[in-house]
Amino acid sequence: MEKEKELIDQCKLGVGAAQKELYLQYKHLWFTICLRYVHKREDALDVLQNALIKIFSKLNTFDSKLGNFKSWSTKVVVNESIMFQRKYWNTPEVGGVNFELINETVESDALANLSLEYMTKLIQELPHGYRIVFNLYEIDGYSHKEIAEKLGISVGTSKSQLFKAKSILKKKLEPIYKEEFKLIS
Amino acid sequence: MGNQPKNIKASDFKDRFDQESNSDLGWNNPPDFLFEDAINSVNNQNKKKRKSMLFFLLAGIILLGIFVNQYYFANRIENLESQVEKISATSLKKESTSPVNINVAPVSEELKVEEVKSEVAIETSVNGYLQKDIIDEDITTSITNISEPEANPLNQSFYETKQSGTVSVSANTKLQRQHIERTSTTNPSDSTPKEGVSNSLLSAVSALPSITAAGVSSLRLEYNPLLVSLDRVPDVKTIAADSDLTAQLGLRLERNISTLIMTAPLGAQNLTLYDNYYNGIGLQVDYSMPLSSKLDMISSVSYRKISNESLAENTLSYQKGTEVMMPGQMAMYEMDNEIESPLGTLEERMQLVVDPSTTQDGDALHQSISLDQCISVIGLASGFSYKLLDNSKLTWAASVQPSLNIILGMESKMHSHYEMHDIMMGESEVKLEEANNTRKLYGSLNLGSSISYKLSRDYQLSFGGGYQRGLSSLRQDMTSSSRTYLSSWTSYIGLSKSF
Repeated sequence: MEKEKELIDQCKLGVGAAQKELYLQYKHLWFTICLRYVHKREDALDVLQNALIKIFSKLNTFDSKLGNFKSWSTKVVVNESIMFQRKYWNTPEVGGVNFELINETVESDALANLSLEYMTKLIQELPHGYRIVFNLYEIDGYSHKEIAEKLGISVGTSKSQLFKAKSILKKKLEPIYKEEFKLIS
Repeated sequence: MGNQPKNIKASDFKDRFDQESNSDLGWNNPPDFLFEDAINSVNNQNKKKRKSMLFFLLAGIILLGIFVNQYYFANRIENLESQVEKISATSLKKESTSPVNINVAPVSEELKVEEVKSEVAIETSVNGYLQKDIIDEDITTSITNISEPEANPLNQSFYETKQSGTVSVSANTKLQRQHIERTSTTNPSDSTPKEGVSNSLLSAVSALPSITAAGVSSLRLEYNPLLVSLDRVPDVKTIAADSDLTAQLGLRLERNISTLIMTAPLGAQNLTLYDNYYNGIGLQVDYSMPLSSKLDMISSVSYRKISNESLAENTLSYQKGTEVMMPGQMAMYEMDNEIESPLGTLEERMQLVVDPSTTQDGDALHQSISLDQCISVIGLASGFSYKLLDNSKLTWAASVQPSLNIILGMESKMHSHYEMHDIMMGESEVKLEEANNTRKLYGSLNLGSSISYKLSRDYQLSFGGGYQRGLSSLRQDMTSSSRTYLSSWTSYIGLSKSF
């Protein structure tokens, strides 16, 4: 933790080597977040680049006393992902992801045997609004009230979109599990 | 159990993503050019930000200078005018003690009281130069009794005073004439014809260029009324005023000789021969604002090119495996190399054509480096200057200024000479425009002394010298304990203008 603080201090001074090291430490996390929030990989790359610019240009505003860097940078990436989605809010998504369902066999009753890539693709397949609400609520830990404020929607809409998102995921998962189940929070 | 729907927790998604997101799973590995592009973009943003900050800082300094100048000298002019008014009033009071005979004449009879001629000389000393401004007055005053006894039961007399004439102001070579014509109705018991002179005098005095100009250091006002009917001794009054409280804006050209002070050696390289002296050039704009007759506050913006030469010896381990065979039994040997320099870490790609039969893995490859580096620096300094000597022609001052320096750019010219087994393997010369581990900002303390010669009332020629010592290191290393401080001596010639 102390090493990370030193690394961040060096980044704040603009030391290139430190910036690179920080990037290498978190690049997988940041890119996975982008992939969860946007529909296409190319878009996720654009979002990540914008997020990197934000992270490194706003690093001086990060105060390690107020929280850890991982949470702070995650928020930046999430916000950048949402910003990107807003641009295409009313654009229908085309060219969805093709799942190789046949390769995903489930023997246990949890998601443990699904690969993270497959889970990401499942989320990517969700429509814009459902995907964002599902990501924010179920994975990134925002409350419905916070989501409503962030997206400018009502709490009821947030809940309803989460419900619909889960319904779609359930339908997509049932063929894998080959049995009926409930997807609960 | 088989007929009962089982529960899958959506929060399992969270657990899985929390645990695995930051692992390299292949598909979540972004290309590295994203980072390079983002950092370039951030650096460009920072450059733009620095440029705009610099612009606003300069604009702020200029505006502050203008504001201080206007505010300060507006007060000075006001004070001088009030002092002149007091002197005039004193002089006139003395004159008014002399009898002025006004005969009460029949209605409508016009009396020519007297023709007043006077000369006022105002001597101003500006930066040691004496300037004499002369005001000549030729005012004719006539009083007419306009009393109407029938309409005036108390038998009071009323007079109409008419004044006309010319006030000439001679300031250096400029002559300014002002025609005065005034009519007023007064009771002669509480009025004297001299009041007209007072008003016209004040009017003329306030029009004097030397009074409204900045930089009046002393004022000597000599009122010499030349009355036709009276012979008077000139009334002299001198006001002591602060000396030379003038703001100055100057431009100077400088030569500097710099050296570097390092606190510890850099890595395994023998970089001990860095400490030589090198010439550079600079340009500086400075503004000084007087706080008292001896003390000035000075602010300056400077641009300097500071050069340094260093020599280093480096021993590398030869990697036989990286040789690439070329036609003619020769091989190309390439190696990415980091060179530690006093001003940062340089990255070079070494390329040598070698005879593979003479090389072995792990052989010591000696690299002798001669490095010329030049940094461009914008310095923003603010401090104080104290006049040790100040006479009419020469001023000798000493100054101290803390300075914030922004490194705008760097150029490195590196000449390398390679040897293995005491045989020369090759030479290379590369120019590099970037270095890692270099600070963008560093602080310094500037000490200086200057001699200024007054060329004219407004212009001064300055010669001086200074010493600048870096307070923060030019290198910023994550690992090395080595710190590099810049130290430079400067000599300059400059021209400044008072305003």
